[in-house]
Amino acid sequence: MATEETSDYAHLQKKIEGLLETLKQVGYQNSMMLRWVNGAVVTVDREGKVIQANTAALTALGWSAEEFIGRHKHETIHHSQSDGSEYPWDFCPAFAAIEDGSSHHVDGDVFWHKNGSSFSADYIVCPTRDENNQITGAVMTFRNLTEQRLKEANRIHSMKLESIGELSAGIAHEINTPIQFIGSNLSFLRESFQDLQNLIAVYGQLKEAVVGLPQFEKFVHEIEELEDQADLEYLQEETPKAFDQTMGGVERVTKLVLGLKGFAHAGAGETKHPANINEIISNSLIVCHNAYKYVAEMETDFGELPPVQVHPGDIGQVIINLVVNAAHAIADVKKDSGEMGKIRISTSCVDKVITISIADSGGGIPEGVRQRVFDPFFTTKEVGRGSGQGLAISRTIVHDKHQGELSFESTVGKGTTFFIKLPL
Amino acid sequence: MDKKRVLFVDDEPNILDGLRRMLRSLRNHYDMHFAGGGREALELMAEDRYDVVISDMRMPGMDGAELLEKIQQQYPHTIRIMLTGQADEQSIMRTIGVVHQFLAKPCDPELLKSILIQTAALQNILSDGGLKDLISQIGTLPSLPATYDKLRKIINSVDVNIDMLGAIIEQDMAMSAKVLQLVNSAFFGIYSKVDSPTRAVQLLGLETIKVLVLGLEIFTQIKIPTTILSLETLWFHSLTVGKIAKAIAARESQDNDLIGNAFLAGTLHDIGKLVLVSYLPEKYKQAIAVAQEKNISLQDAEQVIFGASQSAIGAYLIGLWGFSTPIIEAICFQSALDSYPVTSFTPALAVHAANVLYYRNRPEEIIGRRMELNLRILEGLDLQDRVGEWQELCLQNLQTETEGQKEE
Repeated sequence: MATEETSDYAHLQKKIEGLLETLKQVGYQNSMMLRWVNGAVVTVDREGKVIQANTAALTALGWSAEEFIGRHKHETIHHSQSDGSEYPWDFCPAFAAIEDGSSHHVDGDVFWHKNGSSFSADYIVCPTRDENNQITGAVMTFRNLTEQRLKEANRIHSMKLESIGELSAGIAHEINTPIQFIGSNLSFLRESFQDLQNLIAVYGQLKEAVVGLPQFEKFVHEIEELEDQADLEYLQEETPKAFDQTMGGVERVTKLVLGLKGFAHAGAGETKHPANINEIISNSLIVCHNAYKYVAEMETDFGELPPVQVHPGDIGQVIINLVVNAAHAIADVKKDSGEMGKIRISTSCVDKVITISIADSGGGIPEGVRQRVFDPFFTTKEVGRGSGQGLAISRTIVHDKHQGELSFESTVGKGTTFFIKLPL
Repeated sequence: MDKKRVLFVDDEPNILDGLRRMLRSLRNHYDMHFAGGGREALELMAEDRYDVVISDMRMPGMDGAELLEKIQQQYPHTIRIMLTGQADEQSIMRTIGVVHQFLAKPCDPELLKSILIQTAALQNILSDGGLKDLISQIGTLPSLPATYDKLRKIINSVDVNIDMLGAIIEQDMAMSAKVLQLVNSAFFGIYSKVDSPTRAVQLLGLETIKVLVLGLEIFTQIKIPTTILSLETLWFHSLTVGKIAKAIAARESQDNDLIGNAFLAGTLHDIGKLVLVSYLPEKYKQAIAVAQEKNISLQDAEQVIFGASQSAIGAYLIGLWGFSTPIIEAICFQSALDSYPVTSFTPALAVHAANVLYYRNRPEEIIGRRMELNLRILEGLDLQDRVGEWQELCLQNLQTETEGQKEE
C-alpha cells in the first residue's frame, strides 16, 4: 500500500513538474511573442491601468516598463485629441471594450509620447476575459504610422509639384503667346497715340491761326464741335495712363507666369540647381500673393546672396507654407482689430550659411504647443484650413533634403519669426 | 547707313502683326519681313539677303531649331535669334551651337528694339562678307589643350565640385565666353546680366556643365601648328591683361559694372586673334610676317591681310553672342581709341592701357611695331599722371600671374 501511495505521489509530482515546465514554456513563449511581435501591445485592467506592455510599445511611447506599468493608459498616452483638446476616458474605444465587450479598429488616431510629442497610430482594442467569461480589462495593439503617413504626404506633395510643373509649363506657353502680341500691340498703340497727339497739337495751332477768317469758319466750328464730343482734353490726359496701367497689368501676368514656371521647376527631376534664394522668394510671393494681400503688408529686405544648390520648387513650397501660416496667424488677430498686419521677409548670408527669416505680427504661438508645431498632423486650425502637414513637410524639406535648419522664435501677442538656414 | 533686313518667323499671325506694329519706330533702320513657317522663310531667304532672322521655336512642320540650323549652313552671315515661349532645357540645348541669342516670350518691347539696334550697329563693325560668314558660323571656340584636359579630368572625378570647374573655366577665354553667352540667354531663367565667368558656372550648375562638356562637347581644344605663335603666351597675355584692366579700372572708378566689364573685355580682347589663328592659320602667319617685314603694328598687318583687325573680328563675335555694348566697344576700340568718342574713363580705356603696359614690360612678346599709349585721350581726360600708378598695378599682376603659372 505504502509503495503504491508513494508511487502515486511520485507520479503526481512528476506530472505537476511536467505541467510547471509546460507553463514556464508557454509563459516564455508568450513573453517572447509579445516582445518580438511586429506591433506594440499594451494590456490594461478594468480601470484602464497598464498591466503589461511589450518592447515595441515602450519604445514607441518613450516609457520604461517600471514607469509605465500601473499608470492609467488613457491619461498617459491618449489624453488629448490632435488639436490638443481633451479626450475623455469614457469616449475612448478601450473604455467601451471594457464596458460592453465590443472590439474596435481605429485608424489615424493620435497617441502621445512621454516627451510631449504626438504621433499618428492605427490600433485594435479588444476586451480580455477570465475563465468565467468576465471582462478583466482590454488588450490594445497599435502601430506608429507617422513615418509612413509622412512618406505618403511627401509623395503626394512631390506629385502635386510635378503636376503643377507640367500644367504650368503648358499654360505658360499658351499664355505667353497672346501676352507677346498684346504687349507688342500695346507698345505700338502707345507710340502711335503719342505721334497722333503731336500731330493734333500742330493741327490745333493751325486752327488757332485761322480763327476768324470767314473762309475757315465752317471747319473751325466743326473741329470745335468734334473736340467737344470726343472730350479731347480728357482723352489726351487719360489715354497715356490707360496704356501705362495696361502695360503694368501685362507685366504682372508675365511675372506671374515666370514665377509659376520657376516655382514648378523642381517637379522636373531630382537634382539640385544653383539658385538665387531672393528670386525664389520673389517668385513664391507672386504665386501666393492672394493668400496674404488682404491681411498683411509684405516687406522684404533682401541681402546679397551667393547662389546655392537647392531644389527650387521645394524651397518655394516652404516659403509659401510659412507665408500662408503667417497670413493665417495675422488673420486670427485681425478678426479683433481690423487692422492690416505685417509680414517681413529678410535674407542674409553669414559664415557660409544663408538665413531666411519670415516674421509675422500675428498672435504668436502659445507656450504649450510650441514643442509640437513640427509634429506631423498637428494643427490648431479648423478643418479645411490646414492639414497639419505644412510645417512637418517644410521641416523635412529643409532638414533632410537640404541639410539645413528650420526653427522659430515666438512671443505671444507680438508674433512669430521662422528661420530657414541653408548651408552653402 | 543703309537699312538692314530682318525676317521674323512665327506660325501665329497675331505675333507677326504685333511685332510689325511694335517695331514701326525702327522703320528707318530695318526693312521687316515676315514668314508664317520654316518653309516660307527659306523661300524668302533664297530670294534675298537677310541680316537677321528671329524665329519661334515650336512651329508645325519645320521647327525653329531645324530652320536656324539650315540658315546657319546656307546663309551663315545671317544673325540667328530665337524668340520663344518654350522653355524646356532639352530643346534649348539642341540649339546651342546654332543660335546666337535666345529671347523669351513675352519679350519686353524695349529689349527687342535695343537688340535690333545693337545688331544693326554690329553689322557695321565688319564690312567683309566672307569674315562675317566665318564668324557667324562659329558655334564654339577652341581652348588651350592643357586647360581642356584639366577640365575633362576634373569633371570626371568623383569629388568634383562647381568651384573647381569655375576656377578652370575662368582661366580660358573661349570657355568663359561660351558660359557667359549661355547664362545670359533668356533660358536659364536668370534675369540680371552676369559678367563673371565663375558666377556663370555657379549659376549653370554642375549637372548642366557636365551635359555641356561631356554630352554636347561645347568646349574643344585648339589644333594648330605651334610654329605660328605660342598658344600659352596668347592665353597668358589675355588673362593677365584682363586682371590688369580690372585693377586699373578699380583704381579709377567705383562703378562695379565698369570694373567687371574691364576685366571681361580684357580677358576677351584677343578673342579675334583666337578666331583667326584657329580658322585661318596660314593667312594669320602672313599677317605676322607682314608686321615684321614692314615694321608695322600687328593690328595694321591684320588690316592689310584680312581687311579688318582682330579687335573688330572679336567684337563682332562677342556681339553676336549677345554681350553688352560696353564690352563689345572695349574689345573693338581698345586698339583704336582715336575712332571712339571718349568723354570719361571706360572699359575700352582700361583694356587699352593694360594691353600697352603689358607689352611695355614684356617687349620680347611684341610682334611688329609696338603700340603706344594714346596720350591725346589720356590728356583729354587729365589722366596722363596716372600712368605711373597703372604701371605699378601692371607689374604686380604680371608678377602674381607669372608665379601662378610656375606653380602649375
